[in-house]
Amino acid sequence: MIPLEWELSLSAILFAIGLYGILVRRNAIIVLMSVEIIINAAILNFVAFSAYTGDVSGQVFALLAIALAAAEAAIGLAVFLVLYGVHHTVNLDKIRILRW
Amino acid sequence: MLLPVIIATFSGFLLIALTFIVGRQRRLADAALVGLLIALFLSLDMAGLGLLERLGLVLWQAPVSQQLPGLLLEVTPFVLFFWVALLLTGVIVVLASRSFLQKTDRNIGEYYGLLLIALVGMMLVAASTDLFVLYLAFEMASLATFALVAFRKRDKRGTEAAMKFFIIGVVSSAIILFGISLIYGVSAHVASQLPPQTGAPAATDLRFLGTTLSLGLAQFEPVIILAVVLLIAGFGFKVATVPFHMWVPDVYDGAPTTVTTFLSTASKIMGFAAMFKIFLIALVGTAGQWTLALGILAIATMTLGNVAALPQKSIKRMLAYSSIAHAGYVLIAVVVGSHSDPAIAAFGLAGGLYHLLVYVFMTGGAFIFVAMTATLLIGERLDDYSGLARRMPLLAFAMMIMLLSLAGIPPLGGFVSKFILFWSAVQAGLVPGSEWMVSLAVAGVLNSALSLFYYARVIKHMYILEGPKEPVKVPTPYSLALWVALIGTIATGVFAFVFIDFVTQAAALFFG
Repeated sequence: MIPLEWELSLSAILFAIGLYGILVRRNAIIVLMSVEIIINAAILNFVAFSAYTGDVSGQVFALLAIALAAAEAAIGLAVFLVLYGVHHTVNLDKIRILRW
Repeated sequence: MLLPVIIATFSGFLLIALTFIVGRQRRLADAALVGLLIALFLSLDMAGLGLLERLGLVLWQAPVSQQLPGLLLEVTPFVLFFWVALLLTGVIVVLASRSFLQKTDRNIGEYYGLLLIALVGMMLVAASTDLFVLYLAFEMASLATFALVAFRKRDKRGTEAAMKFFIIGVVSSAIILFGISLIYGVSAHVASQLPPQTGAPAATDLRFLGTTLSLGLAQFEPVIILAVVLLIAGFGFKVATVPFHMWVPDVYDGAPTTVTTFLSTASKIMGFAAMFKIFLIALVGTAGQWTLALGILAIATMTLGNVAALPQKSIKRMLAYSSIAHAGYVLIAVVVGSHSDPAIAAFGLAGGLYHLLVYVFMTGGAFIFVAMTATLLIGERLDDYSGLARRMPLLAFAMMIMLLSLAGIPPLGGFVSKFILFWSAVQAGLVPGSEWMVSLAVAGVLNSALSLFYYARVIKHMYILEGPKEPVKVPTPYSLALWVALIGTIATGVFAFVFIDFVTQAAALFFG
């Protein structure tokens, strides 16, 4: 059996990659992909903890979280499609009509 | 017991289907209103009105307080309070939308349908007893609101606001999910060490989490602290506390104004319902790790919200910053609610609940007023409001009452709720060990005084400065929505004792 630490390290690395992508990349679709990476890190945590403690509810919730991530991606792509239709770009830095 | 939720769900889906049959926007709004009013009446009846019982229709014993273990939900006075507040928001927003939506707007059925589905998600957040159910309901509401902000698909400002709101929303929910996964790990591990017993609650049951997390605190302190930081950041985005508030002015400014009203009231109420449940039940055993951090956030939030509202020339932006400041006031309830003395904790939570109820009326009403002036082509800037009192005397008066209530002038609702909040902080400060909580009350009072400046400036523009004189005709639904908000603002102040009894009881049962 793979030690729990390895799985948690992998999920921590995924979380960090996702956070980096959100903060650094300016393309809306890549930001959405980075968010999905964070969600996958959390899902990995759920499955790992569930397998190591014998509590099955974590695995059930992992499945629900996957469905949720899909729904988020669907709404997000719809929003970006509308955005592209109006602003002709999905670059987050170039869309700034609303000022701080 | 879940009848209000079922009715709201049913009417939400029905409205989407009705779009294909009913062409007229107004009819759809009426249908949504009927569904909401029935759900609101049933919730009020369960909360203690007891009208159905007197009519001989015994569905429940008011006030209802019941666990639904198979569904991982509960219906208690605390939950019913949130249902009533959320459904009231729904009624006000739908009334205003009836006039706000233009003939050129399309997909009206989806608009009302999404509004109701978002409300259902929010009601389920308040009713959940399990961390997983809470998160799923939270997401259900969030996803529906993302689509609502992007409702006007050809509007440059609306789509930009939708993009910002969506990115902030999904990032915060992903962060919350990661925090929940860590909490689940600790709880499942501690639960597996406990002696096995039949009928033991799930590892993610909120009340059971309170036990497991305090048992696991010594062994897993770093993990729990990391999880708490992630949860504070995630929920901080949702309710707009200070380092995570930057999206609020942009999104509130760019979104269609009725949707802004919905976001600033219902969405924030849901965020606080989730925060109360997670921080005051599940994480209460680890309160030593996060009360001070949340206290500092509360003070920073109210101060920055008020200071940033001072120079604003756009009323919508000013109200957006004011809603940030009010999130800071309600955060006091989360801090005081974690106090070790149960009486003080319940009092603080009661103050937070009461402030949320009053907030529905005063902020909801103020945003609706802005929506109305935008529809009537008066404008949303401060200068456009000059001389408005001559043009619509009654409604300008209603706006003045709501602004004064936001500033906390007696005898209006905003005064009573702020008084309870600050007084609970002072009481907590009298107990040795939590003296610093007095600073919350001091900061709150100073901030309320500061906020009067920019609220009063709007009143000055409406009443003292000269402007165009020709009277304007206000559509009836707007007036109705504003009257509901006005009556609510005054009633929560003048008849405060009725509501206070209920919220103190709800808060006491919440901890019990």
